[in-house]
Amino acid sequence: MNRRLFLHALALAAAASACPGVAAAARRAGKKTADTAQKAAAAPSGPPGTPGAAPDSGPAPARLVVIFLRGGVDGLSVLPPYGDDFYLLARPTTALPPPGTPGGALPLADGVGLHPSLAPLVGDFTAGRLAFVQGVGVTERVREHAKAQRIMEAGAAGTSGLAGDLAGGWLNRLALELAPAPDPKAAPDRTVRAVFATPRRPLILTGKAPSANVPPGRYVYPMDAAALPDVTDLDAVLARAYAAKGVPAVLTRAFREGVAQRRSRLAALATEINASCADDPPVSRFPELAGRLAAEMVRKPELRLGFMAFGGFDTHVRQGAAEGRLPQALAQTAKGLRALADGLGAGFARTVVVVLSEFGRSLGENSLGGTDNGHGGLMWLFGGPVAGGRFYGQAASLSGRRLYRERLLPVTLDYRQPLAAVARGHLGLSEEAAARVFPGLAPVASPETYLAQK
Amino acid sequence: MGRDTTTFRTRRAPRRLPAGTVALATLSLLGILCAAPVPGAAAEMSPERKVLHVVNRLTYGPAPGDLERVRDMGIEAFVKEQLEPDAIPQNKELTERLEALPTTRRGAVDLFREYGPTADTSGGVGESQVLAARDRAGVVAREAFRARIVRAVADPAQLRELLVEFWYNHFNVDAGKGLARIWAGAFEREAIRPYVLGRFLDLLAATAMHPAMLISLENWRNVAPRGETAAPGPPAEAQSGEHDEKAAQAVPGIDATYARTLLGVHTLCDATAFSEDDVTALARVFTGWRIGAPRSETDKNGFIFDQSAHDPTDKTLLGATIPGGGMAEGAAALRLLAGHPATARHVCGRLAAFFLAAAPPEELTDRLAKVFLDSGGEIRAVLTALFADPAFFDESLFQAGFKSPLRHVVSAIRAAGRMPDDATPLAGVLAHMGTPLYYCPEPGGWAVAPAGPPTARDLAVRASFAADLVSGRLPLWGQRPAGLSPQALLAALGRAQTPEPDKSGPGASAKAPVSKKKADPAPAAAKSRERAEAEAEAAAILAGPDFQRY
Repeated sequence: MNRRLFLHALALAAAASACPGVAAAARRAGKKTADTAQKAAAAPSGPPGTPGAAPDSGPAPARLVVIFLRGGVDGLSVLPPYGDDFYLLARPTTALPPPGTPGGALPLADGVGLHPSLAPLVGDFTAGRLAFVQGVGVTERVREHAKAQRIMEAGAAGTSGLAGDLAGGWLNRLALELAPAPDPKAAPDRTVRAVFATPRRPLILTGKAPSANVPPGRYVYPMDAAALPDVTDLDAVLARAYAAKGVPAVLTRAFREGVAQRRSRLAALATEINASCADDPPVSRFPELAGRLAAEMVRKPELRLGFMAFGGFDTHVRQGAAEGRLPQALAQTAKGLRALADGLGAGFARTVVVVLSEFGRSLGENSLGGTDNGHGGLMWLFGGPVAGGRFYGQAASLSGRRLYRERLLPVTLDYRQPLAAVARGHLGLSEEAAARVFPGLAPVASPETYLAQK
Repeated sequence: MGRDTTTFRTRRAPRRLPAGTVALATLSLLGILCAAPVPGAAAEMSPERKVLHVVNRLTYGPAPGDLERVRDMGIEAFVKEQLEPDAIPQNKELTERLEALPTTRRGAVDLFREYGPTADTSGGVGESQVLAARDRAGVVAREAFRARIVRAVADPAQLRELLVEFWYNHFNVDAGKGLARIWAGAFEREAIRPYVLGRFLDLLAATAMHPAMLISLENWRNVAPRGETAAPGPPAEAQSGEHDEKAAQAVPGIDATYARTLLGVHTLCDATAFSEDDVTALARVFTGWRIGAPRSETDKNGFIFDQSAHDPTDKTLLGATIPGGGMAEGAAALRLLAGHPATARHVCGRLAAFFLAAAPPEELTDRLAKVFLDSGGEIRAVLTALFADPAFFDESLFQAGFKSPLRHVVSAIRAAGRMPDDATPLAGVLAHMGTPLYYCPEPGGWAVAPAGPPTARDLAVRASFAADLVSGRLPLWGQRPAGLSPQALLAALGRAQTPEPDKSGPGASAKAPVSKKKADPAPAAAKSRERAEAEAEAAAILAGPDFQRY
């Protein structure tokens, strides 16, 4: 209860305190924003630029939008390896069935599919606008959501990087690098190049560069233990059966203990799941906010960096295969990404959307039909400039060794590598500039790795 | 029939086992023999209870129609049929299902050649190649799992399947260790399955010589520590297993792991019956019993007797002299052990505990041990005596045993009445229950003789399993079997007319919603609710207290 009130207050405060102009515009535009934006994008003259914005007669500016899916997205559900029978062993109730069966994976490559909830994105994959980088993450194993999210938003290598002198977030440092070389004679550059659709300015945009806000408005997380789908109905029926006469006391006792243990486990998980959202909107808001963010970016071409974050991927309980919590979240993600692409209109051809998550999930299912915090995960690259229709990185081979000893998929690629490559190849940063955005990173990939030939 | 079945669920509590029995069940299996017997075994079950009891004990649990069949054919005929599994006609569908698992038709040597570690031809094998080969070999273990599960579910020779479980546990080989990962299934097929109702000595010999056992209990590196010729390096193939480092560092010499387990787990299992000297003597007997060179053309079964690594001196084992004579020493030692009274008591006691699902009365063990010794260790003779013994049908045993995780899972699938299209997800379920099949690290195997009561966590996991099974979240079948309706389940389990004390009977509860739904303005919603109710009811049966026992 208190928590909900707190969230309300927070959301309202954010709406009030953020750039008044943007908030007002967003409020005014409401649902129509997306439509107008599309029309505006289609118009050859481009949107009416605000005074002082870069003259924009040519093509849309190169943009980067970062989507942070909070909670740890299950890569094995996004890209189900249905061809590997080990998948079924590791994931008794959350494995996607093969293509052609009800609720089956959508075939992408030999033995690897796409989650059926992501069907709206199949066309983008085949058209070469969507790619996945596998085995991505923070090289160091970090189990806590908050810490892993901080590392990824700061652009740090690991925990130790957080203690160092990394100033703010990497998207903010990137915004600074996008500014033209400082001219001592001119007035200081106050151009706002970044926009975020979270209630507060996120760590990733913290720093010297200014940023604008598309306030997400009100939302609540109804996530208490009782809201977690489980076998509680069954428990009620069983409670009567186990309390009946003639049932050995050892069974009655064990049953009661089992129920109590699961309740406290669910309560602890609910707390963790809530915290993993970091007070950002639930993923159900993705499509709407994506439309508003896109409209804002179209309206103001100087906004070259966008950031959104959504909660709802910490699927410890009843994750579901083709139906359930994760499938719903993925369906919203697909809708949101499509809304972003549609909203950007022609500008989408010059936009790279990076979808991130703090880590992947455990290889094996837990006994609640969910998966636990893992390590190696997926990065999604979406947009016109992406060389899509393919997988980058290394797909982990599944095996008993991994399931029973390591219990998770490995990180084989530092999450900063693709980000640095995109910053250079797409946004045109120099090697030195990229090194300032991600200090201490030794790039392994050429800047063009993930991008289509121009 | 209706009247008869009602006697099944007399609500009276089955006679409780003494408190000590429960505690003992959780103890090491080695302690089972010392368990207090069930006291005052006097009352026999009613004939109708006997039917359910014999089906419960000689199968993995009743499948639809089983109880009727046994009632019709008679208990004696059923027992006789199960004791002669080779005469039972094979289930065609099962045969087809097994044929779709190609690695389960290959021998240990063949599997090694196909899935073993990559041969080190040039300057060493990279770690990634070793791991890749190992990952590729995983299919062997998974197919072995699927074969065992579909047989446990659908093989009409159910007693044989139970005995495969029993003897595999008795001679447990941990598939998580070294080359056993590709050999666990082959070990079951080659060293266990053919002998489960035969002579105990044959089981001893087959397991002693099987490469999986030689790896598992380290005998492949048990060599005589004498002279230069007696300290050869371990065979190249074995080195590529998971314990390379250990092997490389170990000084070649006597390794008594197998000898100790043979005496302490497989045979005598009575610390007072043998000494440390016997362990050493037995280890010397088995020096030179090693795995062959599976890559050589001549290797047929993965075993070689390496004369040069054998200690040829005379040994004294359990007071008897075994004259130095190469491989014949091992045969003599196994014969000695198989015929030992302590072995007879241990083996018969464990068998009785497995089938009684309780610590057997002392006198029963004595009677069975006598049969064992008189018959030269014929397991079939022992079981024939056990199933004919009044103690087997003692009233106190009715529905008094707690199911092991494997039995729980398989009995639920059997009750549903349809073979799973793919049993693989059940491997994950059994791992959640803490007993992954083939992966028990203890020499005595999982606790099945008898299994202890389920723990709090077990019951929680079993509830999830039941819910996942009936809802179809567990993708075992392309289409939900009709046998998963609450009515069908109760009928299969012989509880068709059970009036539940806390709610209306299943028949009534299934009908009442229908009439209610007639007036419902949203038939689709009503239908889905009805379905959810039926699912909850079915799950409650499969997770209920009655289903935890057998």
